[in-house]
Amino acid sequence: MSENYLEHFAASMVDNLREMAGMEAHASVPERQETAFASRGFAVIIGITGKRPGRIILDTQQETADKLSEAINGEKCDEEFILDTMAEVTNIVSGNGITKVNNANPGMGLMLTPPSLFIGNPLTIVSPKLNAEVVTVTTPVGDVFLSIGFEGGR
Amino acid sequence: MDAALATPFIKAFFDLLPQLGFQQVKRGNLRVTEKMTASLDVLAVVGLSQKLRGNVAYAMSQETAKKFASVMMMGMPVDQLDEMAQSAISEASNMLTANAAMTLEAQGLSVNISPPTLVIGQNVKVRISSVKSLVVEIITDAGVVEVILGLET
Repeated sequence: MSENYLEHFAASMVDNLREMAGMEAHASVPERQETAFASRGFAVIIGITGKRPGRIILDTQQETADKLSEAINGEKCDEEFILDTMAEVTNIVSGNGITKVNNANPGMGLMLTPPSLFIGNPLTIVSPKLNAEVVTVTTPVGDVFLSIGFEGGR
Repeated sequence: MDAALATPFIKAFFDLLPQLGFQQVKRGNLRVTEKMTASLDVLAVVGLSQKLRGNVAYAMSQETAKKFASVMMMGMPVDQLDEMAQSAISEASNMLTANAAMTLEAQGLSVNISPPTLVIGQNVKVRISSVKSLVVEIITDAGVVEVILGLET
């Protein structure tokens, strides 16, 4: 995995926000992430299985999740609908990203697990033994953090 | 989800915990939860893919997590849930899920598991499946561990 895989996920996030929410967003340069990650309070986690297992985290504030869901669905959403929407956004972004990583790395066979969602204040997310990078996706309704980590380095 | 799918995950506790130095392993209550549920403050979540898809989360209080890590580290005192203690909890969740995956494999359900992610917080709410989840309590000498299962074939 020599290419910068995180860019695939960040580009997918930006493209999907434009298509689904009509929002212009931009992604920062990827930064190395510490083992412990201070969540903004609303986190979606998707596991990666295959030859290079890992995990994807989409993290944001509850308020940003509320506003993104409203923009995507065109109406105010209740809690369950917000959870469904954010889980689906993470699923789509992760699916697009992992397909590009698999295409660029034949034989890797990476697969995604279903999303799990966590809300809490404070909330710390720890991925022991993973090497992770994070991008900040700046949207008109707040920042969304996208963290991808794999076992055994990049 | 099919409640029978919980059996390998319960069996894993009885297989592994005595080997890790735990004296007591008992099955507690079982309940079905709606999609979003209040959780204990420390969760180790592992994803599953292939023939069985979903997530399993091992939830416990901070106090239980510290005691659990202490037993894992051969009785070494654990006053804080520091990096080493977090690593111990994470490793336990990995071993338990891998053990369950082997049982499932023997039943014809091949499963791949993701690395564990630890979620530590306060007033934590969790949704590990878009369908209803099953919560099984396991009572250990470190305290109660809630095994939250959201699995689909």
